[in-house]
Amino acid sequence: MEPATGRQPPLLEVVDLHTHFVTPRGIARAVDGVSFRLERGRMLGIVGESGSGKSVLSRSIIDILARDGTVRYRGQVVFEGRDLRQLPPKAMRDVRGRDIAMVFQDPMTSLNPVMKIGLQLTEVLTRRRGFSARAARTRAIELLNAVGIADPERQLACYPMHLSGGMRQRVAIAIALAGEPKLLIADEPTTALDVTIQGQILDLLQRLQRQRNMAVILITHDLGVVAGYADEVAVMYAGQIVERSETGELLRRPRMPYTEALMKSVPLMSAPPHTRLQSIPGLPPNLLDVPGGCRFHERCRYAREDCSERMPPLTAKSGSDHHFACWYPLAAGAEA
Amino acid sequence: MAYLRKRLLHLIPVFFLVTFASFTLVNLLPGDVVDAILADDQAANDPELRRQIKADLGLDKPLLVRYVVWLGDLSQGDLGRSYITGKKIGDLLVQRIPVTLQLMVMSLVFALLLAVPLGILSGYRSNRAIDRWISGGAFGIVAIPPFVTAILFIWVFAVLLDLLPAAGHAPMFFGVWQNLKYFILPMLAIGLSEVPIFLRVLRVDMITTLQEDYIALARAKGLSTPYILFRHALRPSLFTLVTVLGLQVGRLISGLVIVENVFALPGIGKLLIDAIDARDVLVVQAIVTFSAIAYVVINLTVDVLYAILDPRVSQRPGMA
Repeated sequence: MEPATGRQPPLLEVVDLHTHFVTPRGIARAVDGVSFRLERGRMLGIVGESGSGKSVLSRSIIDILARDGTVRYRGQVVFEGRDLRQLPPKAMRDVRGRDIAMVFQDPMTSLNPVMKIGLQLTEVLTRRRGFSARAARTRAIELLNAVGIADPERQLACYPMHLSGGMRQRVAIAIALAGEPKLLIADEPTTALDVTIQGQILDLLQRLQRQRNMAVILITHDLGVVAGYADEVAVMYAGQIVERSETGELLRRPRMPYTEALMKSVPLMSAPPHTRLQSIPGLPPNLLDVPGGCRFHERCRYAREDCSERMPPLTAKSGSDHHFACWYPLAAGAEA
Repeated sequence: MAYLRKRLLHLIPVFFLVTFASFTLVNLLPGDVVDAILADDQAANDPELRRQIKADLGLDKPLLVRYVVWLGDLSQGDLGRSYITGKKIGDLLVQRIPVTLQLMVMSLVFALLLAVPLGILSGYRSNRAIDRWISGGAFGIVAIPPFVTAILFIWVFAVLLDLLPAAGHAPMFFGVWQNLKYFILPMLAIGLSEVPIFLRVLRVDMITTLQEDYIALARAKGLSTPYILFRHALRPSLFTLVTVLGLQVGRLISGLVIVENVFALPGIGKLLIDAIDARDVLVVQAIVTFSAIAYVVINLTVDVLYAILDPRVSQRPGMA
């Protein structure tokens, strides 16, 4: 909710970001005009189905998409008042790992299988923050303690294969924390883990966020995860943000039919018992050939004729921070 | 360790197979060692003399008997004597192997020093201009056999520029440079022919590795590109290269035979050709046996290297 005070710029402001991939079959619009802002110490949940562009968005922010010449960016990513897209490569490297860190979906693949945990953790400290080898080791043990890893000294000499999935994700979080980032981007950090571990990792992220006043972007396909942890939510569909609001407000009063459909497709604690889960008919659009007008209209039960003709902008009523992109929004008072 | 012991046991059947096959094949060669021994002799056609020589050499006995006798001598560390010169074959090998080994190691080191950075660069910038230039150059080189490059190098560096000797050998005690300068051209000829293969396999593995999440994470850590390429990406990309390295050694041995002859380097390749010319069967036999064992041992080393490259290998069951 908190409206921007104007005294200080937000930590992160993404303005009309486009990330397109040039493929032999045409241009894939993975991220297509995304704008949002994030204040210090807040947790933003970005929710969407697979293929909605949320992972590409997270990688675009710190510019780590493969440099194979197929990526086209447009728009701004303003971090602490500086547009990261305009930074020279050297300065951008200083932002990565220090100002903004990242945790990936699958800790089985995001840790280097042939390097010991210790080196993967200390290299950020020694190569980026000027720690001596001895100081880095001490700090690494502190970090592993902070993420709840038992017997950290011994784990430093382990390879990732010696650790369970949950432990690996804790290590990955410790690596992200090593640079003391102001913003942590977590791309589906619990999707690859057992359900029993998921809550532990999310609790850990939330605790660290509060302790360190660190902003977090939590990317997930699971609205239930967002409901429990995020301060704000942005719903992504086909490369665009279609609804964005403070979490409680969004869950109580979704305005965009896609958000409603998403809520009805997952069990939520806020829903009455024995509520039937509903799947969303059809498939997310092919990003090589997105439908005209509102991108959701083909699957929307409320769609009218003109929905396929004009693309609704992401707007909010005056005095509200609840943004949505829909010509015929759900009634503001209606329960989902 | 149990794994290593199993691999060493594999050596035994390989040893018998290779030595018996080469023993048989060498004896099937047309021509006769007696002709070589009596080449300048007036009495070359005296049947009694010929039989006498054959009996002295043990050649009047059946093939299988000779093989068993050879095995028996070998088990005592005796490789026999050359039919022609009468020298001990063991001593011959001890003289010649260091020359070949030096050429082989120098060539491989040279090839890897060139191929690894180029392969990394090529994989990192795949399908960009620099990759196309490197790949194009590699295809050009692979099309030329080493003996052609050898002759080309002799012409350019020895004849036109007069920088290096065209052929010959100087032992180490003449001085390091004296020794090395005879090796440079053969090293270039053999090493260069290995570069394209090493480079191509490393490039492909590099491209695959660079798509891994852990590379994305390394970039998200803000590490520099050279550090990521050499420290994070190289080691997981070396598997095929190491495999090919082991297999190429076999091809290298035949390449060495030709190049040693072109440059008159007294290694086992030169020895082999001379021995075949003279139908000096036991010398040929010793060299073939030595190369086969060397080949197996090198590929065993490759297996051990896998475990060093990836700690997961040694803990994976059923690696055999």
